[in-house]
Amino acid sequence: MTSSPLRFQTGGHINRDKPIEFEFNGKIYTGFDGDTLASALLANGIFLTARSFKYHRPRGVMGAGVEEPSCLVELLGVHAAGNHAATKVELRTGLRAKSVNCWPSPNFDLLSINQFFSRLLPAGFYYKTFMWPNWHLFETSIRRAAGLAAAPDERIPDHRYETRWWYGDVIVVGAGPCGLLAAMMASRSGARVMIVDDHREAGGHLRASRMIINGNPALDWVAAIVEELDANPEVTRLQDAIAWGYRESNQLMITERNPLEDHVFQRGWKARANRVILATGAIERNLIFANNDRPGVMLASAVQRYANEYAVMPGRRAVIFTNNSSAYELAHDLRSLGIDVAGIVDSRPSSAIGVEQQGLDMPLFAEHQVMTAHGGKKVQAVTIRDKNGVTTRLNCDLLALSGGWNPAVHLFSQSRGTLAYDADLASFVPDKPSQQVICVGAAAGQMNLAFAIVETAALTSSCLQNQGFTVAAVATPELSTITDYNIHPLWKVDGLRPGDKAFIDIQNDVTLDDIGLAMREGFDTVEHVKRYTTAGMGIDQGKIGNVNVIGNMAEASNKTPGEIGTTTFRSPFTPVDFGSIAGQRSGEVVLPFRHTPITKWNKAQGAVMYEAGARWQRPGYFPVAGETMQNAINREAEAVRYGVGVYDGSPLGKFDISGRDAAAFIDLLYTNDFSDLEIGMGRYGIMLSEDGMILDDGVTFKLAENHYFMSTSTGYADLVFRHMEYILQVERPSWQVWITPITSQWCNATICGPKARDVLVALGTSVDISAEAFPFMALREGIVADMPARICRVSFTGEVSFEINVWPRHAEAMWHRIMEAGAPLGILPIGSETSHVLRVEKGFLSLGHEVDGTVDPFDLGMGWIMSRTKMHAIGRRSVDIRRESGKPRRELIGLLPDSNGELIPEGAPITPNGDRVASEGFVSACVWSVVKQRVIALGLLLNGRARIGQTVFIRDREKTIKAIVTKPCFHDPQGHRLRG
Amino acid sequence: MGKFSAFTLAWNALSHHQNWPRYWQNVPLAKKYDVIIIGAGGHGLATAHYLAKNHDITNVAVLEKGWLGGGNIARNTVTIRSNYLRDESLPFFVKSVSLFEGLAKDLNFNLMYSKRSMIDVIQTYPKMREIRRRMMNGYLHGSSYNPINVAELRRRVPALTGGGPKSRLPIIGAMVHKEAAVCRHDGVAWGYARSASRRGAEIHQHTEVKSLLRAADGTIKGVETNRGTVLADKVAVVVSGHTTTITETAGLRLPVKSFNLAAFVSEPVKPLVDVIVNCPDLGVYLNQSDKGELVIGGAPDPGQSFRRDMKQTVFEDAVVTMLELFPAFRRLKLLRQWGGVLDIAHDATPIISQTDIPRLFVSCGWWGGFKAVPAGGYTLAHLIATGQPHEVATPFTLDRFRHLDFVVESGTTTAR
Amino acid sequence: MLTLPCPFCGERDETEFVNGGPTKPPRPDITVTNSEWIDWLTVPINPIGYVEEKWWHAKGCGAWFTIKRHTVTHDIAKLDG
Repeated sequence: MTSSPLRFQTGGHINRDKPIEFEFNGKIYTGFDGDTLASALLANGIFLTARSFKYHRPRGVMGAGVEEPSCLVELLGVHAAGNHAATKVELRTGLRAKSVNCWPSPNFDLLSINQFFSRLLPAGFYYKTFMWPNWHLFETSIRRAAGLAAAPDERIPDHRYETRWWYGDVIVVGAGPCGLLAAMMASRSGARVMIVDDHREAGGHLRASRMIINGNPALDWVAAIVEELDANPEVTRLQDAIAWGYRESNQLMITERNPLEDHVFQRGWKARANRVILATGAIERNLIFANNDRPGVMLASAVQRYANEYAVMPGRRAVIFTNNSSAYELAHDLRSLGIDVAGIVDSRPSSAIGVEQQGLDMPLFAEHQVMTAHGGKKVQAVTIRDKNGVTTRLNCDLLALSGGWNPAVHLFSQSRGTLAYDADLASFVPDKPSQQVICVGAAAGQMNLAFAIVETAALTSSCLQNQGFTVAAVATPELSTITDYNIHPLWKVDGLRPGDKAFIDIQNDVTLDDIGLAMREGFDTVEHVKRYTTAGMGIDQGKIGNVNVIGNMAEASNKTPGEIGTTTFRSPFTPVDFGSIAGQRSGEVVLPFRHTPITKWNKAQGAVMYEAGARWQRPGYFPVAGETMQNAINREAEAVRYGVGVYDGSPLGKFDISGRDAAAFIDLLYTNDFSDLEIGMGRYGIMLSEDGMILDDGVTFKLAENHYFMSTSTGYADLVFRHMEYILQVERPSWQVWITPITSQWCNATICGPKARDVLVALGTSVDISAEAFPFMALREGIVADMPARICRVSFTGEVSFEINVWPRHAEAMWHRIMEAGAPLGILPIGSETSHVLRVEKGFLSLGHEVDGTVDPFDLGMGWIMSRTKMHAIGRRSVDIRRESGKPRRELIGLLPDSNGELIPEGAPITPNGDRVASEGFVSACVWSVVKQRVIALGLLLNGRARIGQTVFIRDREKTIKAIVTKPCFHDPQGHRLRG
Repeated sequence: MGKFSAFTLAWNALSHHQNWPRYWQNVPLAKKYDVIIIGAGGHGLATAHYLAKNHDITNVAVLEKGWLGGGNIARNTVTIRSNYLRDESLPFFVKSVSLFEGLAKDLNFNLMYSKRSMIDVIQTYPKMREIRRRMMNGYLHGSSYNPINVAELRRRVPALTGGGPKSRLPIIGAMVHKEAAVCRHDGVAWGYARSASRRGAEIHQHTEVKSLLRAADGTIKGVETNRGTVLADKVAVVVSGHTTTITETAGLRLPVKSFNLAAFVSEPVKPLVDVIVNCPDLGVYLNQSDKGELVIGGAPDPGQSFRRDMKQTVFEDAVVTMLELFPAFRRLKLLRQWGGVLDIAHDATPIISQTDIPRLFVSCGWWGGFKAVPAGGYTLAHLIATGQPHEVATPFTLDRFRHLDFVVESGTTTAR
Repeated sequence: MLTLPCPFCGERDETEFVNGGPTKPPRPDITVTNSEWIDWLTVPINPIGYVEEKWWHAKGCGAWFTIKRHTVTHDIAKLDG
């Protein structure tokens, strides 16, 4: 099976020594290395390869590259993925593919019955029906019918994607003749160059043609340039790579589909250059006549590529239908290959047809148009018509179309360059650039290759000179004759009748009728027509069809296509794997953990670890075997209340603040006064946002004159740092203050409970730790357990606490010494759940609970922290303005719920009389109190402080729970214990 | 006639659909109207519909710079939901969801409204606490939110294979918002436009308002357009993203900034995800359209912007986080990405309000404004007609800025 | 992705920076009226065109700096003065 019925014995750029077996729709076929799935299918005589989206009409391969609208396949097996254009699937050993959107097969597709209802399914039909009784009834089956290929699933092996960055002088997109010339010039000038090409091999259109350059086959010229580029280490050449996005600051997003390295499945590139040269060529469009979608109707350029690159002849008797001279190149090629051409149907007047027809001994039907294609699953004949309406039938099994060429302006447009309609070309061309980009060759609208080469050399030369390069001379290649393009636009053939299936968007089954209906119904802008008919919204994004839509809209409304304008060109140019966009970013690379030196120990003790904000992980609680979460928390909390506990407070945000203006700076940040703070003492402060809401809280110690040690919450430390630097650098640039984040430079173990001092004694310390010498809110530096330490007497638990800060390298040792020294006293490690219980018993505030972005210190009963003299403190003015309105506020209160010992979900609303109406407050925290031996809660309640002693009602959906309002402190309200 | 039904569709098929009437009429621009609505987007067109339907005000012109329905109604992720946190926001969005439910009938236009539920995937305890608070507060206002466990979540969203116990952020639970729906976004604009036009309002496309015109006493008196001066008793600015551009022509500055918010779609694939999946801890959400494309959204661009594109960094973050939960989507392909310009108020809550200029109204600050289109139009029409804010929109007036008494709706969209 | 000009580090990729919003006028004195304060606090400049704005080189040198960026084209222009 090495020779297929439609494969030439010689020629093409396939490797006949390497046959490859592949599977399509369950059958095994053979192709060659160098084939695409599309060329291999055509070589095997498989023309019916797909069913269409809406009507399930038979469809075949139409194009030869990214423009392919109809032959979409689903890849099976290890490379499973949906919706690949068969024209871009390289033939590889083991390739398995099947048609999308048909069942059981494209040859016998059950939903092809839709064709007979097509009259009922015009553009936008779904807006007009399926309303009764309910769209949802219809939706499931419609969803099942839509959607093309099946989605990939979890069985897909772990394909490895990676990302690379590239920076340089010039990126050339497209390795056709113009792109290669530009890259060679840049390379010779000493620039750092990247050249990106969508095809497996360089050469562009030259690979599909029989062009002669400098007297030799064009690919000899290509090979010489490629060799020269590859020899230059400053040149990066990517083949089979698609530049799909053009971003700000001249950055291109590129996906390399088949990197050389076996371990990389696909590679995304983020490439940025001073200049981008777009040599992206042009895309041929089709022509609009009845049944222009039948298998065997193809783009002329595609037929040429199949014949010359893949040595496949997708038919035995061809008709060529064109409105320009480019398709004559195909006619000449077919003649050289000995293929029967039943006729060239040229819609242009005879007078417009020039040298291109010379030497062609085949029928030429000037001023004729194809009316309709005949045949169901394969084209069998066409009916053509002259300007007087006289029709002729031509038998054929291949119809090659050229409706003209659209410069591939996608990337240029993405770069925010503007487009202009060029009436001579009957298409849109690049107009004004917005970034450092130039277009050359067909992408710039130059359809004559000889001219394009000369222009490319000139444009590239000035582009390089503008960057300061001395441009080396290059010889301009000599081409075999090329005729002028000379297009006479034909947006649709004459004499189409309503109901004719003349497709304008092949993939989405949009016909010319649909465009007409949309316009009659008032959808007269190009975006409306697109959205109403879905033209151009398929996977091909209308690469061959969009300009035809615009041309037909223009014709129907007596405007120029330029006045109609284009829809927006969006990235990606062609679909790319999400995997290639993410690259290596997955798992912990997405959100790296932050660990303290104690994390391992905590985990070894069986701690349940929680996400604690700012990517820190902290132990939640330490259950022993068989213990419930609540029992573990109670055991830990009792240890702190009646014995001693220790927790790892290392993630707490910490800053070292020093300099001449440090005190004034801290005064600006906090609402209360820090100026009278004594050395060695600390003070609790609240930081407000500019809006006058609580942003953060913490204790700041004065270490020396102009030297402070500030602590913040864990979660907001980064935000506070940013806030402080902003104030300092932007608002107070003349102040001398240095802020050093030292969160990770000081680890801390906080020993708390009535026996905390005993633990410290057992550890051994150089610091006098008596209550008199070392009072609450003081800081001492000295030696603890033979390690240098900074001890702070703060308390978040309401018990005596010593926060032992040590260097990270001592942290683990200190932790073990504490556990040893505390063992006889029954010391327990405690987690954040227990800290929560202890602080709720004390009524200390917690960010994220009581503080939810809407409260100020007055709301929390902390008016004392709002200095009367420091009206300039950040946020102060905003608080005052808000409170001047006198609107009642929600205030912090305690709650004793009548819940039979059950915890109330935090966040539960409090409603007037427990009715199902808007809330008047909510439960911010609820715990089992070990000191009260009952459920207690904190909450925010409208006018709460005036309602102490009253009963309120908490609503947890259907359930209503009564609660008595109390002061927000359930343990040691005088604070004797924490000062002890 | 122009009524839409299976019968009229079949009837018109006989004549090859040659006789369908226009969705909206083309009429000459008059010199004066009772009300001018600037902006034929979702909110503007809905306002015209409700002015006619609820208040019998039909001498109305909707002036549109570009093509109708071409703003954010054309470029959103079609999510309709009411699971807000605050008592100030909930009634409004509950109202909007209920208007959406009856909208296809109201407009005689199939919006392909599909009440398919949203599932919030929870990966951290702080988020779980916030979500539970939403659940209980939402219940008070008739917005349902029900917890499900991880096994049930995976049963309902089989494609969700990430977030396992060993992953970076293991899934700890999920919450189902039953009222959540999607619908055909362009259809909403066209349906409202068709209805407003049939009720007598005029829609003038390609009519750009260059400036607002004030009378000697400071009140609004009309607008200057590229097609000349048009007078009106009342003017409403409903031009998401470009609000300040218009109001500043009358010297009115507002507490909003413009941002680009982007979204993207995958290639169309067979049914894969039946619900809207929202992952607030990671900051990505997605649903699958009836056409089979996954519609995916993320965060706004950093920095002010009047672009409608996709910032690579923001986009990559959304892709990366999506793949954490849906690792099989690595092999799914990106089809198209786009952006839209919206304005975000200082407190990130919408504004529907009378302004300091008498009889000049604004509706702006919409961030996730698609879901708000019906209630936004309904309440703005009420405000224009009666001069009083509708009760569900009272918290959204500019008055709140006079006392810095903000509505802080954290997580109006997902945020990391 | 933009490249942003850090005054100390030169042109760097946008991913290294945090946006700090448009430049505000200097913080008003405490003697201003409430409405002046509210305007300062809540009403930003929002031009279609160049906006003067703050960026923080968070994953770099830590500098807060000011640039002029066009809100449509993203062009970065020299600051006045």
